[in-house]
Amino acid sequence: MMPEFQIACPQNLADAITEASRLQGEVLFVNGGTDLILELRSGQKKADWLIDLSQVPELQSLPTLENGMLKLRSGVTFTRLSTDPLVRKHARCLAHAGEQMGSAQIRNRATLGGNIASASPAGDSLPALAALEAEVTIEGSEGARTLTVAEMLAAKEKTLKARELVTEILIPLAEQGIERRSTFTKIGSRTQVSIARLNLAAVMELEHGVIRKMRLAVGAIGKAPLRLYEFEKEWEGKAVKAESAGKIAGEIAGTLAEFLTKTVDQAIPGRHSQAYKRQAVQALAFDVVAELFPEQGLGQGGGGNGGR
Amino acid sequence: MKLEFKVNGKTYELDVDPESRLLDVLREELGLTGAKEGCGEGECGACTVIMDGLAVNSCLVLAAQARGKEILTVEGLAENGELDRLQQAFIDNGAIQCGYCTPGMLMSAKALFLRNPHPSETEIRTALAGNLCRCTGYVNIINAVKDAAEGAV
Repeated sequence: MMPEFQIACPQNLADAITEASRLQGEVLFVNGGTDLILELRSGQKKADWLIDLSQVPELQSLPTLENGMLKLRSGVTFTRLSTDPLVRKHARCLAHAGEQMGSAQIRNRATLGGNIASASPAGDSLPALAALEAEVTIEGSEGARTLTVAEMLAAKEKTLKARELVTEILIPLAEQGIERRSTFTKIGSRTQVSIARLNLAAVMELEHGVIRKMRLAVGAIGKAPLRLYEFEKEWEGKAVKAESAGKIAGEIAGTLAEFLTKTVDQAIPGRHSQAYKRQAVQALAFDVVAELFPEQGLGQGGGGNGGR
Repeated sequence: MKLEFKVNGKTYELDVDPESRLLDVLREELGLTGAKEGCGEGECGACTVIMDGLAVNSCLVLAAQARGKEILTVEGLAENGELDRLQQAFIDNGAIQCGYCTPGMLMSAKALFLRNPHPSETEIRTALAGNLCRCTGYVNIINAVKDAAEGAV
């Protein structure tokens, strides 16, 4: 049996925020509840009040394009992320993260906002959002503020204060004439359902055969996903000519694999999982690069299943 | 607190505890014991029901979150005394042994059929990945869903 709490069911976002500031005691927001309900039952978290966001219409509306941004509402489920045509087109790595997270039942309930708010080290959306340079809007009774995911990940303290909630996630679109390719892959203890032991998201933008942007983030090797800034810089400005694309892709995969092993060694030195992760992460590098250069046929078809 | 929702086509208005889960209300208030509590953590899928057309773990949904929703449980699958083709396919394929996972398996498969009546084997396996079976074995279960998908039943 769960410890006792009360539950408030606001009809809209303004009411949810007002309720949050009005209610006494420990107040928590719940949407999909796939983690929170377990944490309440186990006593890891305590609440006097839950505020249910799962039927707040503003948080459930569909992804849209606005002012050069893909705008997602925090209540977007992982099922929606994996199937929404705008997400698949502009933020493919996030769609891939959506389809590989949990089971169908979990994906139908778990939300992007909840994944950000709980900020699990192994959370699947965060590396994708980091690679996409997303921004997150947080609202509370004192108003709204917007943070980049990079700022959130770099913050020493929890960025979400008590009684604040994530309302929107904004993802900048590729500029006119730029081709964006992106993907996400993970390794868990089985191919489906399990929590990521490692995950990796990549975004590459090309303009006339030149790499304009390279963005990668690796997760589950520390408190928060790590962006691979040094590696990214190495490859920006490099030409990917059709005739040499296979060679370049091979070089990117090789250097990425090496870079990731180094990153793991630095992130979790002496951790029992280091020996496994420093090797396994190389497979992610090859899978991700195979997805970024689909025409090269580099895929082994075995490891990650990002291309589904 | 008051909960108004629809289960297997029938509207209910109940007074439920705020900390009740959908699973608790289905089993204990409505006597619909098809959905089982296996792990209680969203890992095993034995509690799977369909809420507004989507498979969910009823152990991870607060009863209050089901307000205004339409729930379909395994008890609602058979119509006019006729088994659903999925149920018949499970019987024909020997896809049941102890039966504990069966209601969840059926509801996950049913949810898949609702949006994709002719799924591939990969799609079936993905849809059932959140349902654990520890005795029948998955081969017969997958075969049953494939049969039902192909209309062989």
